Amino acid sequence: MLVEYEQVSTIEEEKAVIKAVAKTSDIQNAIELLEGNAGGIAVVNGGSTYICKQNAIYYIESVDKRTYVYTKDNCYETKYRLYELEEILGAYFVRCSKAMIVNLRKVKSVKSDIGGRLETTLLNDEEIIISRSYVKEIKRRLEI
Amino acid sequence: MDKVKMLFQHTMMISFGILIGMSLEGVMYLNDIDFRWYHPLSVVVTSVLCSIPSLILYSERELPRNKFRIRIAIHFLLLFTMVLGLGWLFNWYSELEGALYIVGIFTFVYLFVWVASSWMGASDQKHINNALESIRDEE
Repeated sequence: MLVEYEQVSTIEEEKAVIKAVAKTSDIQNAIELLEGNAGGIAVVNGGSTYICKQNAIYYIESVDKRTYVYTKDNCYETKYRLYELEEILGAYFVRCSKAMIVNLRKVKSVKSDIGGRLETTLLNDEEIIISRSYVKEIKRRLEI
Repeated sequence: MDKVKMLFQHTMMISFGILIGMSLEGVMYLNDIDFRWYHPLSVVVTSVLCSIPSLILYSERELPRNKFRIRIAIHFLLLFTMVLGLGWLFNWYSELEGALYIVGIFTFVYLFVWVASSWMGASDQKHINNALESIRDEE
């Protein structure tokens, strides 16, 4: 594949365009690497430690000072705090309430609810709430 | 800061609503209406005071839908009482007919604010869903 590199002066101008016949696993890996989604975080389940890839995470919740990572079918605990995960994880991981971070790439749909909050359905049909005060940041991340 | 911003927005919306009510009254009663020097001031004072109960609806924690509805009902009744009380104090009405007019306008403005908020929410919903479409993972 022909690769072009062009230097720009600001971060806002940074952009990668991949033109390919099909979205192969190599292409997907390149996309995740460029979007900062390539890494994983250490999680614990049943006494065993795993590395949970970012693209497997649906949402992360803090309950009683413990942080839980939810994937499609499982729940793990992690030592990280939410504010640390906000720094570590990619741009599509965004705070949706005081105690929760959601992966926007796992959101199936949102529905406007009373008081300006958003009822959110994830790809695994689980439902979470995006608080009114975080809607603005989510719109900014989605470049709306 | 969010609270101050919300109070300011609500003050503006309430002022606008009261001015609509006064305008309608002016059109309906033409020369029979009696506007006093303190009426504009009363609009400002009422708007500022009536924005304060909005704090009932503001919560750092996510409230269950039922609790939020109860808070809306309390907010409505509190504002209703304040508007009638301040209206009496500022001499907006002197008879039952005037009080009923105030009640009608207040209910209209209250509903208008919620409908406008819902409309803005629906617009956000549409834009966010469209944006999510392009980044969504395939499962």
